[in-house]
Amino acid sequence: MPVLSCEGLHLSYGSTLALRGVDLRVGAGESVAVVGSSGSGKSTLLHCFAGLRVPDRGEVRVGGVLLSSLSDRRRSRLRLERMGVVFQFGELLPELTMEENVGLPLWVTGLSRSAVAERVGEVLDDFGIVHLADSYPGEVSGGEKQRAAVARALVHDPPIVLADEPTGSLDSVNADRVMSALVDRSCRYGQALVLVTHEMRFAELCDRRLTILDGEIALPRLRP
Amino acid sequence: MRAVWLGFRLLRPRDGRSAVRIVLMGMGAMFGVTAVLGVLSIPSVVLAQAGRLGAQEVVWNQERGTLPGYTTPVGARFWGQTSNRWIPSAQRSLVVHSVGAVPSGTSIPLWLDRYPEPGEIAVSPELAEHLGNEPGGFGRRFPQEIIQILPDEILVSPDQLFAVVGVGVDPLAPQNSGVFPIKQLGGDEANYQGPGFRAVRVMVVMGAIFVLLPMLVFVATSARLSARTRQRRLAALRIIGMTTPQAAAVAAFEVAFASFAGALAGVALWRALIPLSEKVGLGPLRWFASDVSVPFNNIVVLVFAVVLLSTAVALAGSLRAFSNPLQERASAGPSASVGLRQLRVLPLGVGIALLVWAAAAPTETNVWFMIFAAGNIVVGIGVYTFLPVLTSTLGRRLAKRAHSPAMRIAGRRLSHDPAAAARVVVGVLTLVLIVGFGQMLMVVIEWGATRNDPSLDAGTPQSVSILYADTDTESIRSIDGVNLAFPIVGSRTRGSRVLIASCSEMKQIAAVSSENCDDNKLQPLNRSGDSEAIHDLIPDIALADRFDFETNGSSRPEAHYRIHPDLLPRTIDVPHSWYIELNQDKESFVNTIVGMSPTANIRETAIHDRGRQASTYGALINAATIVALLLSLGATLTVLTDRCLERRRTSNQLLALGLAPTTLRKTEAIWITTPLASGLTIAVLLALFSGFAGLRLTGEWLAVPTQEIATVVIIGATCAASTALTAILATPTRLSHHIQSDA
Ligand SMILES: Nc1ncnc2c1ncn2[C@@H]1O[C@H](COP(=O)(O)OP(=O)(O)OP(=O)(O)O)[C@@H](O)[C@H]1O
Ligand SMILES: [Mg+2]
Repeated sequence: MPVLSCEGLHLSYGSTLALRGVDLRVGAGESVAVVGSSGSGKSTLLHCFAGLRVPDRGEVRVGGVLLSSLSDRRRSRLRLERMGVVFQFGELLPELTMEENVGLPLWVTGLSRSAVAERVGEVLDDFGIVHLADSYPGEVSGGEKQRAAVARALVHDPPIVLADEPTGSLDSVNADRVMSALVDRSCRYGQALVLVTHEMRFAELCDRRLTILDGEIALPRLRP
Repeated sequence: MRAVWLGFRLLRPRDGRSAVRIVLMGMGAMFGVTAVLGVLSIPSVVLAQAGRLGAQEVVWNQERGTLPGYTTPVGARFWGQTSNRWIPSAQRSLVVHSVGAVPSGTSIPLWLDRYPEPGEIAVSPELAEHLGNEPGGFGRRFPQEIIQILPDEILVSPDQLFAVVGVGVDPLAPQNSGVFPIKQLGGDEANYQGPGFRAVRVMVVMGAIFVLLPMLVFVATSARLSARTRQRRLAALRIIGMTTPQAAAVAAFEVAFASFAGALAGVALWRALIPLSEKVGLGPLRWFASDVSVPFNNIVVLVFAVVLLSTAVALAGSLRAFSNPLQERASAGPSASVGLRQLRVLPLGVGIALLVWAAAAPTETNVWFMIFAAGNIVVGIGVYTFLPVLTSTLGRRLAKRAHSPAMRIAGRRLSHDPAAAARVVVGVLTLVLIVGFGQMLMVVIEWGATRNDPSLDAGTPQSVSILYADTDTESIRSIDGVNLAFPIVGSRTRGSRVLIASCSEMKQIAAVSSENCDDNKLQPLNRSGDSEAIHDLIPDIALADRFDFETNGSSRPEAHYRIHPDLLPRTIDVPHSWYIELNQDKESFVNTIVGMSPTANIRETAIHDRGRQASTYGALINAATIVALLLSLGATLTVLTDRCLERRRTSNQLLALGLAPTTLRKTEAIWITTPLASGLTIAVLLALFSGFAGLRLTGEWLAVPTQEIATVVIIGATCAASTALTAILATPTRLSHHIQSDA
């Protein structure tokens, strides 16, 4: 059973048709790269998966559960516990330190302070920003912020990770690091990963690659 | 719980800017609470003063009795008289109890050491000071020896003029209609009928109009501060999976905390101001600090109401971020929601309709006042809701016709976020409405005062009637400033009084008179009296023809007949009253006559009450206007500071793009002057219209109050100009070092 699937997704912003009939199934531990030209609807698709945007038509299922059947509260809960989301413009809270930002999902779930600190320490180390733990987002570089945003999405080991161009402002060394961390994890821990990217070399890392063209999946192609 | 914790954590100021933001958010709550507590204090002061006024009262014997041999009627102990006179130079009342013929063993009120003997006086501290300061003027009134300075506990206010004078038996003569037998000096507080609920209510309603509106604006604008920051925060929290209520709790926590702290600071500020207020007072109004109290419950309710209001306003402003965590704007602007737009115009329409009703329909005064007050409040709220509609319309027009980048950017900003511009401007507009309303009220009150105080017409000699004075004609005529003095004899109760004057003297009173003066007869004057009574008083004298005349002074002698002094029967020797014409200051004359005769009963018409009303209400309106001014300017300044903080990001971007700082300034100038100028015009018109409706109180057409209108326009224009200037000067035009600090 796919952990994440959608069927016949349609969504329009006024007269702009952003999605027109997208079908997609992502199994546990599967990584899917979504590529496509700018404005083709990639981010919109991710928003629908995250339950942040309601499609005009079609349905999204997470672990077999129809998203539209859930209350806002349940949907939020789902996002908190089962998803890690990195957006194109990673939203960190400027008032919290990097460490606190990264630990936020765990902390909101109700984990104790020490448990949060321990887990966050590991993840920060993984992403090479442990020395910035006590800095504020305003005081670090754009790439470091982006790494923190990815770390935040992974900190609670969610079964589903949605990442929208998480390496947009990273140099190739760091981008590689972040990407391999993302993809490795999906292999190692059986996380489903939907990765939106412009770079073919990252798309190649994934199990599957699909191209979105004007709101439709153009070339669903299985990797050999 | 975690949400609250997180909210608390987010409070910790990371840098000066976030600290400033929180302080700004608390400002509205602070000044709002202080102002409302000020209004809520009014009843406590008025009631406490009423209580002590009761303690000063004299309890009279119901039966007036007579003074045959000065035996007092049953139940009464001694005799006395009370006068309550408005002292124009001091702008307040002087209460004097004259007591005489007090038998030994009479119980003495706690606040009095002993009853003053004739020639002695007990005075309040303020009166003592006045007597000492003006020995030649006001001091002439009480030449008596001061035997006691009365304690504060008995005084209505620290500046009350109050005295107890000892008099002999003669001045308590039966002709002195003000004299009554006294049961007890110092009444029962419980029995005293207060100043009337109505007066308190009027004051509180007035306070509400003047203070509530700017306070609401201040609290609301404070709560809407940092809307963008809050929105960003909400979005971030929703994305990681917080539920709507959790995210709302986090986002609201800051405002709730800031307004709670602000409200507490407001309570503290109010407390701190109380002792100060005793020294300063409000124009002619003074009070003891110890009289000011607001029940603890009310304070608690007020604090929570303010916190609730702030939080609700803050959350309402972020509604969009709840339903749409990805924080895009619902396709740019109000054109999308015509229904909402009509709703925004509605309050203004209703307010204007109420004012039109108040202006057009003659109704019972109380109802009229309610309609009028409601109309003003609704118009105030209406301006607040209507402004964004106006702003976005203006913005779209501006952007369409733009011929410079500054104009285009400003126009776009206005139409994109019309509420932001509206928030900056609304403080000034509310102020204009309130000042306009206050000025028109002043016109009404002053109209009342001038209409009822003929002495305000300079140049005409003034006349005074004295109903009783323990003195003779010669002494009165020798007083400085007395032009003419004629005794009047007769019975006041039976309604026939005779002026004693010869025909040649009569010509001095009469500016215009009929030619038929007859010195050999009793002559009826303009009004006729009871002819039987006159025969009892002056028998066997033939009546002449009626003598019609107009006085030089402002009032005519209170007499029905005139007689030559030589014709007056020897049996009548005590004049009942005098007609006096002055060519000088009335107050100075009164000082002298009271000094000669403490129980002198000087006829004072409602003139003084009117003067008192004018100065009291005038002071109240001025004070309230100043409070409104401070609140509105505070609100405006707060919004501007916040805007400057939030604008830094976009300013940075535009500067980085290469836009000249002057263009940024110009943009800001256009952005603010557009809604300011148009809003101000509307507000001035509304204020004047409200004033026009208010003038109906007078029931007649008044001259256009140019001076008041000028005041409104000048205050409005000054505030608008300074607001615009502050906004322009505060535009960040230098690339800040922390370009990324917004994360
Ligand atoms: N909030 C919005 N309101 C209106 N139109 C939108 C909105 N968001 C996206 N669109 C439009 O929907 C289409 C798809 O947008 P989307 O953000 O999904 O593109 P994308 O594939 O993520 O592009 P990019 O690679 O540039 O990030 C675009 O044409 C975009 O202009
Ligand atoms: Mg995108």
